[in-house]
Amino acid sequence: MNAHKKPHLKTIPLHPTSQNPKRRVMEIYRKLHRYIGIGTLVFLIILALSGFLLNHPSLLGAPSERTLSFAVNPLDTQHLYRGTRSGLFASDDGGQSWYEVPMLFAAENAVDIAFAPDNPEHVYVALEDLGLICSTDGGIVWEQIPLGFIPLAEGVHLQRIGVGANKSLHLWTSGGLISSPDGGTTWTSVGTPVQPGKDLYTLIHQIHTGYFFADWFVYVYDVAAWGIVILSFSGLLIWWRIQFGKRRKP
Amino acid sequence: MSLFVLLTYFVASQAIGAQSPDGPEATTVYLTQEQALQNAFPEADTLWSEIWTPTPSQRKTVERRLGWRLAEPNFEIFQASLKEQHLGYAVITEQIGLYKPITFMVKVDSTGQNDGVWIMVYRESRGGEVKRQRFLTQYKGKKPTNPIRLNRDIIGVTGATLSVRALNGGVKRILTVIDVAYLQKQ
Repeated sequence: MNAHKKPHLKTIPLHPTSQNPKRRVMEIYRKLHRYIGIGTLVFLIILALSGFLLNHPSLLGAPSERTLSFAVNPLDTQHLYRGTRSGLFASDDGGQSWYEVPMLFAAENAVDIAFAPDNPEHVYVALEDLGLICSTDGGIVWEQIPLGFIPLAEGVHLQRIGVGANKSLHLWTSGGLISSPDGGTTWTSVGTPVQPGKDLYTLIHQIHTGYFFADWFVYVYDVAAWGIVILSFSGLLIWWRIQFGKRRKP
Repeated sequence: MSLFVLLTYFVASQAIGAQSPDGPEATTVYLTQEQALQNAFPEADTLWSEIWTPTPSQRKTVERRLGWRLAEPNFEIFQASLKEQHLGYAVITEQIGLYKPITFMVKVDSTGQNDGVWIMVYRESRGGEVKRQRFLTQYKGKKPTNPIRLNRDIIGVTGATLSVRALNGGVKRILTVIDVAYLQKQ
């Protein structure tokens, strides 16, 4: 009688071979589990790589500074302003060259720029979190226009600025519309009063991108993303070797 | 697991802790005027102060160099000397952080470079980390022509972005004021 020697390595066949219905269900389940696992891994790799690239847009050929706002001096079309996340930039030659508008405090997150229609020397810039600034001499000297609240502290984001004649200002915020008839000396809410908010969307977005913890924390996320990619590929490699690699004979 | 719990706690505490102006109990006086001047000029044998009121032309020069409107009508500028040798200038100034002003002293040496910053009064419960000398020493040697900007030539403090921004602006403003008031004449 020939005695069959059982191999030491326990193999899990990809194709169900058992005639036992219970075993057969288990084999199908295992097979399904593996393919769903591989599908999830691919999804995870795409998420990690796309997240890494989105955090570093310059790698995609996109300008690192996304333009948030743009305005042209109505009396001098060569004089342009461009608002970005890091500051306010200007061009005096129709956009051929740009320089950062020198000012004591950086005009971070300049989400909107507007010229006064009756006097284009008056330029207004809405800073998403830091309030409203204006220049009355064509952009040389700037000053803060008090709003009666600090947007960042109240969880309110400035979004759009509208400038009318006779220094009337309208400011659209995440909490509603506020208006000033006198160039920012007094402000009143139009419609529903501006409500301070927690702005959960921004909170979750900042947690997702890592900026919530600190600006440099985005690099921790980068390391985590690459860790996921490496782990995923090494997991796939191990699975491949177990399934299709040569096994040592006992 | 413990890292996850720690992160969750950190995020929750940041999210739940609604920001609001702190009461007077949050005010901490780190240095009085005398103590700050003692720190700035420890070896001085003569100390005096004068009020500098910029002329319209000087004000315009400062504002154009800063790109920012000057709110103060005048500045009290302290000076010190040791045996007739001039030791520099110091100005006590205020700049709004989140809700309330931070009071601090900026010392400028005779060549116009920053020679020290001292936080005197901090009035809010968050962001007080800027008082640490480890952060403040970054301003040493800065000139009015330097950017003095967060993430350019100044490394920030997590959770104190607005305080850092306020100090950056305050230091640059005083450096420019001293430059226009005293050093441009030389």
